[in-house]
Amino acid sequence: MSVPMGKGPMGAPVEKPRDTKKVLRRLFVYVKELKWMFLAAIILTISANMLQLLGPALTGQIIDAIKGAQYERIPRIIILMIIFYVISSVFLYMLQILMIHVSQKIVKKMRQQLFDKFMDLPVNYFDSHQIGDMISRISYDIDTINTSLSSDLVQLFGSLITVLGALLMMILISPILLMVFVITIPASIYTTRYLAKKTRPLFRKRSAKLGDMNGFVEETLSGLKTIKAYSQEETMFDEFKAKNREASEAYYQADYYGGITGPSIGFINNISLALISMFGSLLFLYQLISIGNISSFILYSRRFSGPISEAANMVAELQSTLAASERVFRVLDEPIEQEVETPMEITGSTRGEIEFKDVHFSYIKDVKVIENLNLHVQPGQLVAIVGPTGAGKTTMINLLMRFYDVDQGQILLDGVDIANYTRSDVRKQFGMVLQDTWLFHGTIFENIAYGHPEATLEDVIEIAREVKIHHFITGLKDGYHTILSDDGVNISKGQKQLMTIARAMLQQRPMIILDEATSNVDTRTESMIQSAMRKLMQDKTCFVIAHRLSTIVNADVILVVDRGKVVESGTHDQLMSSKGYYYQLYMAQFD
Amino acid sequence: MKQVLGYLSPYKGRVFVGLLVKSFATIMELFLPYILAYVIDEVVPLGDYGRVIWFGIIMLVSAVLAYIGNIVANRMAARVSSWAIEALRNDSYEKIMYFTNRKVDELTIPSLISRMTSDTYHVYRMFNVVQRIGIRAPIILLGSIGMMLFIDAYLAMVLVLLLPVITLVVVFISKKGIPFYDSLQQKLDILVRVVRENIAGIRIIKALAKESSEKEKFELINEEVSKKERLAGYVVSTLNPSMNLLLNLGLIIILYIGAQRVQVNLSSTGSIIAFMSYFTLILNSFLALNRIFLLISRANASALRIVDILNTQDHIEISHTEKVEISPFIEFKDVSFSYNQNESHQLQNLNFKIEKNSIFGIIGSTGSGKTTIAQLLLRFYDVSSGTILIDGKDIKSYQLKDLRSKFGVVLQNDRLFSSSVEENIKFGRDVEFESIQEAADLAQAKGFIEQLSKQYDERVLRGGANFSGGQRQRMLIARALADRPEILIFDDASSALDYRTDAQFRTSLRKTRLSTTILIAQRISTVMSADQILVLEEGRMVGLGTHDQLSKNNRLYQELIKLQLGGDVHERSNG
Repeated sequence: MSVPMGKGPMGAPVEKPRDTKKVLRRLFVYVKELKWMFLAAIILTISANMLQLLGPALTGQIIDAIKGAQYERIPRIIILMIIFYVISSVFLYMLQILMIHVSQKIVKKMRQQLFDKFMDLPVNYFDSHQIGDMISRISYDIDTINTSLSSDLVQLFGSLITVLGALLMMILISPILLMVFVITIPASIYTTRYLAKKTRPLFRKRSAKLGDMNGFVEETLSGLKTIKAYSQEETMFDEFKAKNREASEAYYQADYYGGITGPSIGFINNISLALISMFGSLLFLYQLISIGNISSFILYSRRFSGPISEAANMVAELQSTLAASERVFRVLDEPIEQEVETPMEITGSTRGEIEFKDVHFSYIKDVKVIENLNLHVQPGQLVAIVGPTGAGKTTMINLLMRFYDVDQGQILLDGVDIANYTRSDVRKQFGMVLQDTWLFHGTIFENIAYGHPEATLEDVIEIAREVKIHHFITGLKDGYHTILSDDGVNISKGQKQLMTIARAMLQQRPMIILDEATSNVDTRTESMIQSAMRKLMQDKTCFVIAHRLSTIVNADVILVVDRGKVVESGTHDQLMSSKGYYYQLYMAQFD
Repeated sequence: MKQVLGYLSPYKGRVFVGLLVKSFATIMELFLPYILAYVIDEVVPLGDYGRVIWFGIIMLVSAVLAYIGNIVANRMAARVSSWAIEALRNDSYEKIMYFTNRKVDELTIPSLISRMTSDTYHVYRMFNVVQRIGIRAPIILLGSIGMMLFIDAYLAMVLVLLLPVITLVVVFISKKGIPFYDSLQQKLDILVRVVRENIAGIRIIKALAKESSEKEKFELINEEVSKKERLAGYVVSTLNPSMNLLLNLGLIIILYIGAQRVQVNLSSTGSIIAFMSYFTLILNSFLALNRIFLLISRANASALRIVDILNTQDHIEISHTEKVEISPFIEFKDVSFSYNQNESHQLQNLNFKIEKNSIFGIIGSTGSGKTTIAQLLLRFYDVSSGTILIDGKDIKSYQLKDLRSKFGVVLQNDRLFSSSVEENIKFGRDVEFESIQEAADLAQAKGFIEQLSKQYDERVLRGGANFSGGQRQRMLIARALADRPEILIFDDASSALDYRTDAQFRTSLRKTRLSTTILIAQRISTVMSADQILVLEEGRMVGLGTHDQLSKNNRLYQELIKLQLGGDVHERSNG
């Protein structure tokens, strides 16, 4: 009846862990902390299943009592049966509650560990991994582990007890009749194996073809306007038809062979039933077995073969759990940001003098991004970083904030190598406003005060006034307590930008990092942003990824970045007179 | 649902035969316990060895027939389902391809994608599983009850009375459980949102050294999720033990009553043994039915969403108007437009002309309606009032394909598709390789394409993920140029290009002047060399002229110059 449909709604293939032993060993660490609970669970499983297994034996006794007309024995057996079944059901329920507790304890811990890890990972991890992938680990993978711990494990262990118990009972009833299984069990193992081998590649192909088609749908529907603009609807439809055909053919193949498994197992069960009936009756005629025992035997045989056919599904299930655990562990094993052993402390505020001394840096080994950079920035100076999109302007910021560390050379803050401080101490010297305005689900007050927990509402209002967003905020129904959410209040990009500027301003750091990428805002907001940024930069050492000419021309130092490298540096006049890359960029603008 | 089921109707015959075969197979299986009872009650007491073996063989044959029948029926079900779903998917996809943009906006692209992918999948599952198990389970359920009634009606009544009780328990527990799972899902959504937010803002969090406070925040939501999971689990966990208990109690009752009936010769041992087997069958089919109901209810929701697509009536009218004798190539006459009838106008009363082979710039801030002008020209949407003429003819009188084939466009959020560089530039049209090269050259893309290891045959991943933003943009521009269109529209096409490439591209565009070119931009430098520049503000025309004219007399244009080119160079005080 059950057909392997693969895992997940889209029929993704069952995944296998790479190193099963290692994963098991690590999972065991979690188990060990709860060993008493696990022991209790094991005892409950064994007793509940054993009690269940007594049922068919007692049924057989009743049938023999009927056959032998010993009716007076029946009520006693019936009462026993009721007691056994009630107790075993209670045990089963207790077991499930217990396992929910156990799995929740473990899963909660894993989830927290994973999240803590995310917070501790260096920025380069986030630059090189998909956000969706990280989220699927903390939600989908953890969920898979949860299901396995809370139900699959119990079921598998219970099945094992049932199979062994049923086997034992059948041996006790009639070792001769057990010979039937000498035929059917190998047959059933062979068939399931054969079919699994046959269907696995088919299901894999099915997932691939389906993924292919879904990918095509996603791609073409997302680009529907482009397709329409070029009148390519028909081309795409034809291509879709071909992909759709392949997908449904793959479906048919997979489901055709997959559809054999269910009936096959049913068939083998039926054969067992037929053979047991036939041989059982013959044995009865030779007076080697009682009718009651035949009945018990049939009932046991059903319990015996049921779990065996389900075991294949279970194993697949557990395998994907191991794979999920492995994915979680892989994150937990990532190296975190290392600190120096005895960090120096930054007391109070720094002056904001920065020096790059013979700095070398590369993201990928041997692909130099910064080579021998020397740069001295005096407190209060403005450094403009310019260059085409994707040229690597953020590298400078990554190094200053110690999101990445230099390969060679030093970055000095007030004359001290920043590698001597803890990362958070270094970072606390900077205020930062990035291009993608990051606001979280919370009130406007919380968002602006983020990073400055002691700030009062008055402080926030004062800053908001300064960046000229106070008026807008008080215009909202809940003012500063308005909750920012994706589907909530409609706040424009420009207003968001103003809020992040306010946030940075509130922190009053000696240095500022700013990405002034031109966002799509109207001219009024744009000029508000510009004036807010100017206020933020006042009297501070500033590193600006510059897009506005006024900022660039006014900078004390211009760093020109191209193809990931710092290619030129100097003031506007110096760079113009050297007629290099900067000169070309500048002239192109007025071309 | 009915309409979706209609996709099975071309295969009515097959479905019917499949169902017959399935029923036959199921009935064969149902015979087995009955034969067993017969053997024990009637044959064994006679002590006839030969007949015992005979009946054993009959049982084996029934099992074989059931096996074959099941396989054949399953195979037919898979065949029919895959055909039906293929047709359903084709129809939906075709429908979507020819939707008007208004309809697409209304239904939204993510929703269309999920209808095409997961919804059709649910419907397929339903087609398949219902044909396979959906038929088998009721037959087994009813057949077993029938057999039991036939063997011993009195005893069977125990079961018949028990079934509603079990059903009630299942429904009760499920009903109780659903709200728990709903609130769990809500908490999970929050948890995911928190994680997503933190990952997106990791730089800020680290910059402000807020890692540990974020960890504490997460602990709270983690605990809440865990608590909800436990509660939901407690409720749902009652289901299995209680069903187990009920069925076993039913068996005990049958044994007890059965024994009494055997005592007075109203029943037989064989019957009781057969009852035990039917009980197991009923339990299994009960579980299967439960699963199928879940499947059908989910597929039903999916089917509704697909039917929604299939039944959408919308197409674009082509009107027939006479050609008007006028000279300008493109003309907007009193054009007003709003996306939504109740909303204020997106564009108001636009009047302007574009000469053939001239360069026309449109500038304005976000929301000023620049992009809308391009969408109207392509007839992605129809004007609310006024007319747009191309070559003296209302664009509504062109066949859609003829109209759009005049254009080469680079839209905002335009797309590369996963195929080769060449295919992406060619994009299904009849374009010579030479023209592709030429277009690539003009778009400043030739240089980097020829440095690729496979040049024009280089693979493009979905969305052009293996190319930089600037490279993608240049390929899109090449695509627009490749077919030598009469009209080129570049909507913010140069925003991803650096100044130098942008300038080079504009220079070559000006030199060739093969097409009428419409440049839509936010950057003054992009449009400043155009023959005419249209300045838009909130859907209204506030200026039209050359760069020189506008920079002398247009307030908004002057403001833009000041902001972008740095009119306030000397204002910043130096620390």
